[in-house]
Amino acid sequence: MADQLKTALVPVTGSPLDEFTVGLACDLVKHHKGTVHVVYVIEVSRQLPLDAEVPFESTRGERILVQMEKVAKSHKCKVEGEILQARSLGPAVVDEAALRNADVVVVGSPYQEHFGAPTIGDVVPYLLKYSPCRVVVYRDAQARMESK
Amino acid sequence: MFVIVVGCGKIGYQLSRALLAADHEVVILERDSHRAARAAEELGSVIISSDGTEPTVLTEAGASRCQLLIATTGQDATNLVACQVAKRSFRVPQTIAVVTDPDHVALFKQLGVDVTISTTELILSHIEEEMPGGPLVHLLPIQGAASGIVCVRVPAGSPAIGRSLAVMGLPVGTSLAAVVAKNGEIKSIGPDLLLEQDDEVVAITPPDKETLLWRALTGGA
Repeated sequence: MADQLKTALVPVTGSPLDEFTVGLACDLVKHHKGTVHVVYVIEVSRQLPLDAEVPFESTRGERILVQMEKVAKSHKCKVEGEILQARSLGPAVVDEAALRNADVVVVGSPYQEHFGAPTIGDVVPYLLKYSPCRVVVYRDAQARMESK
Repeated sequence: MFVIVVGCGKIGYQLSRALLAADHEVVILERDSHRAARAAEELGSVIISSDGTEPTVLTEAGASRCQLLIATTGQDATNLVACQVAKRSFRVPQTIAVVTDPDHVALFKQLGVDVTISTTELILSHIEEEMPGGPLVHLLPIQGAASGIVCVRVPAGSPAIGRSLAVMGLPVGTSLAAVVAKNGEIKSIGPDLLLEQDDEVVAITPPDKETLLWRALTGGA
């Protein structure tokens, strides 16, 4: 699989998993001098226009992207960061994957429980269903340990 | 324009598709989660699966900056409440409601809905249009006035043929808007105008004078 992967898209949210997903994406594409596109999606409330200025979120996104660029560079991988504004994360990532002609989307999924049952939320299933390319879901071992 | 569509049945779905295709910002509120999921497959993340009459849902949908709310559910009561909440709580400038029971149209207007579209009346007018003879066809209700625009074709044998408007006499409150001859020529309206067979008479008339107008133009009993 890895020999076909040149462009990876990694949505980041500021969670501890971001570092691992970016690192994993770098490992997947660096053999072919590929590029990792890191995107931070600002989910804009419908009470605001989509292009509304959200300075707090923008600053946070910029800080996270700078951090992820450092991670990618430590893996000696070419990286590009971008902040997007959208109504919801899943469709924004799918659109971006199509736009960038990504070969793979690497997404982190923190371990969560809902009424005692494991859940992966809404975004991962959306990506699994609609992504135009491969999807790698990363769940950290540590997350499971912490939940116990 | 930012439009909220309440209801994603046949009307709401097709309307939303058209609005999205025209590059409008659209949010659809659909109470039925299965229907919402089906529509989301094609229309994307513009659907919120919730009750469009709930103020909290309308807040989440962005009603405070919405320019137009269109209520398209099959329930007149739901459409009325959605429009009223939008108008009173969120000051939405324009509300449009689909009304299935024509008897509810006046009530909707009294309660502040800006525009009503009676699906039953629309279907009736199309059926009337296709019926043989000289039926009275309802072309358009005039919003805010107690009159509508109607059309009658003058049939063979009508007592109106060859008579001038001055002689014929029209019902009180009725005025002619246009008379189109069979060949498409538009005749000028005046007291000397003589009606001929197959003339299409377009008139503005109150609903209670429609029968009188129809009788005057067709001779029908």
